[in-house]
Amino acid sequence: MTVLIEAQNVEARYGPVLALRGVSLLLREAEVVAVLGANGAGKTTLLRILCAALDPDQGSVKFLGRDIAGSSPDRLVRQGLAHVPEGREVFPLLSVRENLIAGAFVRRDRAAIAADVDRMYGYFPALRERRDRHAAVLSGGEQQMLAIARALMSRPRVLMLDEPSLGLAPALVKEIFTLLRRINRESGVSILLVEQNAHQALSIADRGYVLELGRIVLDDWSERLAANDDVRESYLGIRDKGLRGERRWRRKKRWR
Amino acid sequence: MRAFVEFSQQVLSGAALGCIYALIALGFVLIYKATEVVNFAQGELMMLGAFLGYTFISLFGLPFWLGLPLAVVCMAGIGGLLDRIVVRPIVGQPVFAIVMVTLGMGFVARSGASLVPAWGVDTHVFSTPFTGKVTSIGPLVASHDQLAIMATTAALVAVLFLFFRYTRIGIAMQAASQNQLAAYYVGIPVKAICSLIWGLSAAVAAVAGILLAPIVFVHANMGFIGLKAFPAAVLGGFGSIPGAIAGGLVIGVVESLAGFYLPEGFKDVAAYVVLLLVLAIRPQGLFGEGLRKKV
Repeated sequence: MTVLIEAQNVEARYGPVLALRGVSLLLREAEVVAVLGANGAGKTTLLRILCAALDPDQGSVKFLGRDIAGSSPDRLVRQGLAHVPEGREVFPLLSVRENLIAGAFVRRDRAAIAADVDRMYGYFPALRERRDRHAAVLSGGEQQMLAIARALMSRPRVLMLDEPSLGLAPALVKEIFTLLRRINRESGVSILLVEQNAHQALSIADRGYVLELGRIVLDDWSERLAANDDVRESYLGIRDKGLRGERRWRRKKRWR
Repeated sequence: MRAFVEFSQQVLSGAALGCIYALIALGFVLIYKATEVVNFAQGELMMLGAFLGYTFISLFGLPFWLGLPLAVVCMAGIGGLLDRIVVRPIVGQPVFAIVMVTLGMGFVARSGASLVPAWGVDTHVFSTPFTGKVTSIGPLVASHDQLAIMATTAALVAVLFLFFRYTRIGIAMQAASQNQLAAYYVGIPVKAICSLIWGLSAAVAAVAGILLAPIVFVHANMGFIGLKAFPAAVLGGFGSIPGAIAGGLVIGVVESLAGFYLPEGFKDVAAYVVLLLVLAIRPQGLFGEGLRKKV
């Protein structure tokens, strides 16, 4: 399978703070990959670097085999990389429909754009009902759907999502994630999902990376990550009993 | 009856001048919404537009309907270049730096214009197809210059409305002004769009300048009218396009009425008195958006 994104040894620092310490990551065609990590693990920084909004201090990122150094987010969108930013970031005073049209800025085929708007309404029926409303008055869940649909309007080969579950009800998260998997199957778009909600993310991902304090400490197939003791304890909230039949305050993580 | 006619006559000429304020205020608002830069040189852009119109029409002897679009296109280019060369390098600097730069651009434009040999510090006149003609509407008398100003403003506002509503670039401009980060992420080249917006508002300013020329004459200091357009923009709720138009009209009419009915001197402060009153009652301006822009 073709490699779409290849990050090698990426380091990023904010002043004296190392946010990423040598992160390497692969995304292949038609894959769904999850990057798990707690607050401050460097997830958002990683995505910003992958879409060229931020330059890495060390290391390199290739998109479709080409180094993205010196590129910018708007140019990468033209090459097929769409980014759903953290916190949705819809255009508040544009209607739902205009938000979608804005998402198709890099395309000029009017008829196909109109067809894609309809396709998005098909995926997200709630958006169809509110197509003439300002995006600002939508609920959080609807705004997240709009942000995803808007990103898909550029017909990307890679869809990157920064914490789509943030602040949403569990049932809604499940619905959105199931839909992401369906869109991935139907259109073949690769998905790179950065999440704290490990349970939901692993349920739709093929592979996963665990990012901790700027380092990738684990990468494996989703089923094996979900079965890993450390992941289970740290991210899935499943507590095993210790050797003496009681849980220690904090087990030393080994990451192996 | 005579009092009513006098009143209506003042409202009419006030509305015509108000349209000019509105067009300049529109320029303020367009640039502010997209880039959060308050362009204090907007009046000077209008002055340059008027001078270019004077150059093409009076000096080169081009027909009005050729000289006007030519001046507008030139000003659009100048506006775009100003953004690219002067404003873009300082975006992200403290607000006062940007304010000083736009004020400085105004000074440079004023003295630059008076250094051009054929422009100088004299007042110039150029005639438009509307000059010197009047139409009577019942007991009211309207000069064609005034009617042209109002008709052009109405047409320009309608075109801009359709442009922002239905075209790809128009929607992209709105998107970029509402959320720059997200605009980048959907592939909108925000910097190029900002230059386009500067070009657009310089073009609008040029139209205003050429329309205004027959009424106040072309002069290097005619850009000071921007100081009246600024309260118009604030009155409308800085950041709202319909607000800029309404604000301009209100200021124009109030000023005209104050000049007619009140003692001398009130004409020039009337705009600010109205502004203070409105802001005291409705701080967000007439059309202010309740929604704060996210940074």
